Amino acid sequence: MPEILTNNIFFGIITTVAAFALGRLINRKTGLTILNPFLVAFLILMAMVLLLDIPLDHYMKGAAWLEQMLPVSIILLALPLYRQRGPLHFHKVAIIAGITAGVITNVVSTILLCRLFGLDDVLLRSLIPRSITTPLGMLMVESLSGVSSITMITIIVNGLFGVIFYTPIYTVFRIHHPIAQGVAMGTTSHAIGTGKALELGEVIGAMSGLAIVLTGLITVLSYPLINMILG
Amino acid sequence: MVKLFREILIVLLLLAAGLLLGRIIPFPSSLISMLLFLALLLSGVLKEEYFAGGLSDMVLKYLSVFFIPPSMRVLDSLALLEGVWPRILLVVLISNVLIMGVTGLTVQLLLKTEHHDA
Repeated sequence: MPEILTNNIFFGIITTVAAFALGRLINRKTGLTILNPFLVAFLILMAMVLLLDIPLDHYMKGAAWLEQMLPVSIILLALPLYRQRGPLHFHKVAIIAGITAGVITNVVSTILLCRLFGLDDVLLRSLIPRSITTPLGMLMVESLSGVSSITMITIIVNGLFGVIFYTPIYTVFRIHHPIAQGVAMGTTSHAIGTGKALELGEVIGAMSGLAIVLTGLITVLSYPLINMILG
Repeated sequence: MVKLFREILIVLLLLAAGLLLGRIIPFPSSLISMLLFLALLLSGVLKEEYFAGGLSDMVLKYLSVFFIPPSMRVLDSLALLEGVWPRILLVVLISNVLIMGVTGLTVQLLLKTEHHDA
């Protein structure tokens, strides 16, 4: 690949947007939740960079501009949260307690399992913010001084996890109530899981959607405490 | 056109307010901006109609595109993952089963007590 084509500010932006558009197209044509546009775009770009031997610095020259949207994307999350205050109103206690229990389970089990399997502190810090929506995950991993790219990838893994494993988990834990199923999905698998939840039913979908920003918010607000625990 | 400018202006002012407040409150400034935005929506100072179907909703719809570049940076951190990624996957799998189970069970249990009260 001639350097003049890749070593400029347009290359990263154009290829990222094009890969994402292709990802959306593939997602819609196949109708498969698991072929998430973000995942498809990531795989396409990875293949491109590796196969054509393009230096990451070249790609990042333009792509870094897209990263500047992080603060704006976080502010805008107030909108979906505000819009979902209706469904939250009726079962406020159960939903918020459930999400808080999920967030605590995430932090405690991730710390214990990382220690058990001998994963170092940097990895542990990168794995904690993985069950939340990408903007808040990005913010949190910076506050925890983890590696943001590892967090981003485990966020995708968490999204796919919910989509693939929800049936056995609902069965084993005997989670039958649609509100409980939805909140469990959104708390574990954020927007990707919510895509699946919407297919399962209106209540499950709405509850999963509601859980996305709430889980993110509760997780992010706990970062000073986690920093204290990890020392 | 007025709507578009109003939207952009509000978001920029929120960003600025977050940066200023961030000097006093020890929290990430964008998070402060978001909570401020939420408070202004809930109190009715800002109307949801200002944003519905506008630029904000478009950004929200295509949100994940902005997080592809930071994910690509994993190419710089491959050394960190070498040899340990199967264990990472295992940690994530076990922990996720617990998160999903505990969350669902807690909600279900509390919903049941709610019904008994009624």
